Amino acid sequence: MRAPVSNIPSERIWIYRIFFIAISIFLFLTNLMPLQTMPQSWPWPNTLLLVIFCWSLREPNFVPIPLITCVLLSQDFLLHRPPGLFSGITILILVWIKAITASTDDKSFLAEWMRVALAFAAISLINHLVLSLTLVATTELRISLIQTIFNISTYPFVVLISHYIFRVKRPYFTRSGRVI
Amino acid sequence: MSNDRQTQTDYFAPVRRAITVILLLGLFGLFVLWRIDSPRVEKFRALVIDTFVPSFEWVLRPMTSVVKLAKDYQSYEKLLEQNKELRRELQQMKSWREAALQLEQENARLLDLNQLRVDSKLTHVSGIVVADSGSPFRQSVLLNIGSRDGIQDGWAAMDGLGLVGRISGVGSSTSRVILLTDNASQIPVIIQPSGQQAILMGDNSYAPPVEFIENVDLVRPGDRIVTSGEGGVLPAGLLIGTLALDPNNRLRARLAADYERLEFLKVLRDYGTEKIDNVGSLVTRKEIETGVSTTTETSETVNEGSSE
Repeated sequence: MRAPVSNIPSERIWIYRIFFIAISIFLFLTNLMPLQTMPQSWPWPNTLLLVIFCWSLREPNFVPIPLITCVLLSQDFLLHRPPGLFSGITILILVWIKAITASTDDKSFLAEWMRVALAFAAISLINHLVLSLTLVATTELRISLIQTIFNISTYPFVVLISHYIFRVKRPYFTRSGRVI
Repeated sequence: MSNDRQTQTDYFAPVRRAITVILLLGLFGLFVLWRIDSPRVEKFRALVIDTFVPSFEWVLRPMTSVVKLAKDYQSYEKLLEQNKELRRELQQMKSWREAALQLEQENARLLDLNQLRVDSKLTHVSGIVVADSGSPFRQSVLLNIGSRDGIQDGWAAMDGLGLVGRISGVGSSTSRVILLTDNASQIPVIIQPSGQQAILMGDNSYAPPVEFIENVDLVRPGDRIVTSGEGGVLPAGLLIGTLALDPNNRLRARLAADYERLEFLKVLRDYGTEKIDNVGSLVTRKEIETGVSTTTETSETVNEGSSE
């Protein structure tokens, strides 16, 4: 297993961490705007989740696990989700996907996309399963499945935007270590 | 240089792993705690919302109005058509207004004849909708009034016309209204001309289904749905909407409140009706009260008499 080597200056790391917090607050506020008080049949993709996965698989230092935990947990509270469950599952799956990505040699985007798709499906299914097992009133599975499909299909766009606009790029690996 | 860093990260790896495990345990522990002791965690949630959301209001308000402005601009294009339509509607409304005025006068006369007094406790507090639930899974809105305005859990929130939802979660300056369309919303209702009892179950759709109707043959689409006040959940007689039949032959409520534009809501103050456990105590208390209002001396004797 290749250990992540960081040769990025720490100021840049901190700037990106603050960036991440700003993005999460912005996404949260756009969600919270009281524009849609009617039930929607087509949910928006969970953009924060996409950003978390995209950045963690590119620059894990920009989004350390404690930071993700804080952001997700606060969203759990503010967006009226059962506290701790969604963020717990997300982090579990994220760690798992990071480990898989680190251990495989297939660094193509298609492989990453497949892994991420699997992760999103797992997150929503496990979430639904735990909620129904603990007898919490759940929403229809339909909505979360539609959202998962949207998440998977918008993932490449998030990757493109973070590549070209936010300059979060995938490190280019060689056998000896990492070269940007 | 690169080798140095490599050893450094290896050194920190177990620590990082331990932190991750602790965080995960904490998160799942919190979920279990929430499942066991929901009210306490929900109180904490109300506190979190109460501290965070008002501090974002200065961004949220302008952002919302800008987007609304853009949306309104689109509708300017159809201004002429809308104007004509509104004039036509206004004409109809005038005739309705006339009818309503006459009915109101008649109603006032009849109330006067019966010497009936309308419950003065049923006043309301108005609040501005600050935010919605923010997720497609929950249907709720956040108001900018809370416990400092005397809001309590379970009170009814209405727009100008019909019931919108119930208060669930009160912070000091914010409160959350669970809309009738939310999955967790179940309201006992009466379907009006026939008086059939039923329950309005939110299911995340625009028109919530009406279930458990006692006798389905007695109701028909177009009937009025009002709250029944069963179980002291909500005050009785609040308008919810009209009954409608969906393509799958399921009875649903077409809500009277305009869910497209929830900007201001009024929250009805409702301290509940007095519970009558046994008839005797209520009657004797009434006697004492009347005694107090007439003469103090006799009331003392009555009090002493009743305590002995």
